[in-house]
Amino acid sequence: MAVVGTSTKRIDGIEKVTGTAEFTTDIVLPRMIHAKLKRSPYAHAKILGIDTSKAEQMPGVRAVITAADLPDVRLGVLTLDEHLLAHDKTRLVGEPVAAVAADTPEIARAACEQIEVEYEELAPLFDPEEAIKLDPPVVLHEEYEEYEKLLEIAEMDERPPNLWQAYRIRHGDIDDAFKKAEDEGGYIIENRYATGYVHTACMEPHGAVAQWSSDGSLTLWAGGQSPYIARDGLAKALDLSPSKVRVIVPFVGGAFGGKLTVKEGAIAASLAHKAGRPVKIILTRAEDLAATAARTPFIFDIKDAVTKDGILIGRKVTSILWGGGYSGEGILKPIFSTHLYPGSYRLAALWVDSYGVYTNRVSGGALRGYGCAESAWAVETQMDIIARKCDIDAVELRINNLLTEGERTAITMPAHAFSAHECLTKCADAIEWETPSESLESPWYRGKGIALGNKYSFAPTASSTELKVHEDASCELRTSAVDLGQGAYTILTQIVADEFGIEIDQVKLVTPDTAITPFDHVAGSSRQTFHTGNATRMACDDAKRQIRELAASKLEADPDDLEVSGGRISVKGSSKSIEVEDLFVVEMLAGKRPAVDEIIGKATWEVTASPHDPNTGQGEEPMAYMGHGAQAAEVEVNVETGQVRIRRFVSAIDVGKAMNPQGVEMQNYGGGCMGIGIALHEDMCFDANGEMTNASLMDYKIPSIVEMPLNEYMESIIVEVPHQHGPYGAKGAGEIVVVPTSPAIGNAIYDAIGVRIWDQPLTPEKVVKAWKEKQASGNGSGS
Amino acid sequence: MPKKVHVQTTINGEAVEYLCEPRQSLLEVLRDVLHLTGAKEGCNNGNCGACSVILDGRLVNSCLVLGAELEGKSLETIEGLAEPEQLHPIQDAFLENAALQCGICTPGFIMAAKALLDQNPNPTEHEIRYWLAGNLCRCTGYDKIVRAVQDAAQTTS
Repeated sequence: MAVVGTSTKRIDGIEKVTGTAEFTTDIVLPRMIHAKLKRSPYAHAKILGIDTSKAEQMPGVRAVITAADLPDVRLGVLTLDEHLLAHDKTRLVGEPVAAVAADTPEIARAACEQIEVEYEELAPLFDPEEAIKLDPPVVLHEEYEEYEKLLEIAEMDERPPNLWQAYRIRHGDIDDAFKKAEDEGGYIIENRYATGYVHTACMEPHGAVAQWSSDGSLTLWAGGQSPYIARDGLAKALDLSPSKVRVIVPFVGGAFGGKLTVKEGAIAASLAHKAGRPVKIILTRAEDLAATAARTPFIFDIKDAVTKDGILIGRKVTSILWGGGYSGEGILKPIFSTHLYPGSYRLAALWVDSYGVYTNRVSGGALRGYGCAESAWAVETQMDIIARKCDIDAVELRINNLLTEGERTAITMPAHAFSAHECLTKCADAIEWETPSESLESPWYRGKGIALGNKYSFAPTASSTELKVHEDASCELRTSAVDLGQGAYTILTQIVADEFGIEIDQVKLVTPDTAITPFDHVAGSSRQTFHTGNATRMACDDAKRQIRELAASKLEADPDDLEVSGGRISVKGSSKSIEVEDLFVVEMLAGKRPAVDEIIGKATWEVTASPHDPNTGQGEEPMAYMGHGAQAAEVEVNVETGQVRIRRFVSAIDVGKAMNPQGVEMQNYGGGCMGIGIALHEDMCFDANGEMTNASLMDYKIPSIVEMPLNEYMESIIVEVPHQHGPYGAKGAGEIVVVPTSPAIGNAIYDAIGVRIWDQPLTPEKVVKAWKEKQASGNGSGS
Repeated sequence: MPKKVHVQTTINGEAVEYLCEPRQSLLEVLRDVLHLTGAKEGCNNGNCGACSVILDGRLVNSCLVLGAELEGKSLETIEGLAEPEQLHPIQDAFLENAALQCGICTPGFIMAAKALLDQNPNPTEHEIRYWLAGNLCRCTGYDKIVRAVQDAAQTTS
């Protein structure tokens, strides 16, 4: 009967395979009109004036807005530095400066072209290492000190004017670690790594539909990751009370971190208000790629102290997150990226300085792995280099450095449900780690690489759910958890079915709608199974408690002696039982109603966290849980063309308890696929003016079906080390699956051809260049 | 505004007539005129395959065909695949194999798979992969999509 732990079919599957699933783009309302944005062609410019008169006079144009039509509020995640429409300055190419709503998208687009904006071009700043200087050539935010900030950053004698984030870790005696390595025949290994510009490139572009009611309240349909974050963002942007805003989340066509806020939705809402008609906005693919938040690059300078036996004793890191015009959803990345510096390893001394800076490029956002996938590139490549330097097998070296259950990491995270060893060894076995790759005929070379990873899930955080029991014993779960494709709706349904001992089709899910469904923080940070799963179990418990109390008098038994399953309430150890239906009474003309009160279980699952000191990186228990995973790749490299083919790929992740094993496999395959794209070819390119030059799915290359290994060479391994606080022991799986991918591939390339490429993506050009340099120098570059 | 074009055509086996602007793509006609919204716009330039439909037996991106071109032709869309209460074997195979996640690319993949199996009932894995290379999916990693098409081939052949 148990359905948790089985590969239950997706509850949204039939709608999705028949094309009837309704996404934002499918919503049509009576009298609805269409919005387009007028965007800045300059990376950095003063706005001297905007003339919208020609656009307003065009037939079919219903509303035109600029910043002057909006409340003068700055928005942001934790540093409020951004206006909905550019106010007095634009800080990146593609920043919206005005918006039009018209009868058709074509008229709206044509009207945008008729809006005349007078700019005074300013020198742009693109280089993060220039940006971080105390005396930079350009300052993006002259009024930074006046901005509202919700997070304390590390103390500094003087803040570089373009800096928006600073975070330090001071753990152990770092100088002593390097001295010890030097004095005792160990190694000091120092390298610089960089990650590239990556976009979520969801198959569904960003969009929203906005409609106002006559009472001055707003309804917004938008496929986002959090209806409550969206609601509060809209309320702030439009100067409304949150209770006046209703956000409904239709099906979401992928998010991966890219749909946390609803900037376009707020603009559509403002247009809808002015036009007095519902407004739909759907970004084009080019807009989506070029002007919505991206995973912007990191630069990591990392220096490790290692004993001659390959034990890591100290690590020093300086990193810069190459932010864009606004701090955006990337605001916490300089902090979260530090989780991987200790990662799963014991580290006596850790010294980190992590920064985020403004530049005149696309703003930094979230993308699956949130900083951890980036820092893993540096850390897990270092581990491979260290292994080779010490002449120790790369798996063995990692195992020798692993923490054990119950220890704390150098950033004070308790190592609980610590499965790094199991993930690593199962992954190594699957790729036949002990057997070197076969030799191929020139110019092809084959090699294997492996990497470990973690993903912490953030706290403080909370999820609430409500569970209504109907007279036919079916259950209705009301949740604001969003299914982005990851399968949350199916897993939550499985939980309710199990808790009530009923069939899957006796569970109905009421999907996110802030007018109906209770608070849930966000479908992000791999938190939905863990937190919403817990809240769902608790709401089921609460509903069952109510049922037992209602049934107690009918069954003449103590509520504690009753059990609820399969639509029946039974006295334990006796044959006495009644139906759930017996708790309802017949009402004339109205069918059945609850005898006493609606049976609605309610629960909130909350995880608190002690705030980290931004000057030391130390705290009590900084995160909700720590996820583990390992991945290995076997690659084939053509040294003449630089092509890298993934021959074989293994992903082994610990999910605590596989709530839906098929769903975990999908994360392994899908995350691995995205990780392969990020490692090898996904790369947003910019011209000298800061404009993205490859904003199409032809030129921004996400993996297609032919780049992926054949099915027999793609392996998913599910590790289950239960977490004490996870529902049924479960942890999330959505992000860990992209964390080890890039270093596993980079390490495999080294194994194949003996070259290191330090900056992602590992494109054919870079492979050929590194190979030629190696040939010219007669030995390997790096290591 | 230019005069609309009158089109008489067959969609999913039924005679259909509509008016469309000469510039409107088939995808726009399907979605905005005929309210057949299973085909999705992922790129509007033929890169992603989310709008795949079968036109006179040929797999096409409906964003690259004009609505006016449908005159006298026969079109199959995702809406025509399932019988009431009975999914098409390809749809069943996608469901059983968990070959979908967010689902926005799914109708396109299913139509592309149908066009393949109509022509080649027993494709190899390589043939499946090369045939579906015009359809992008950001969620699944494709593995389960390949398995679903293999399963469907077994069921239908």
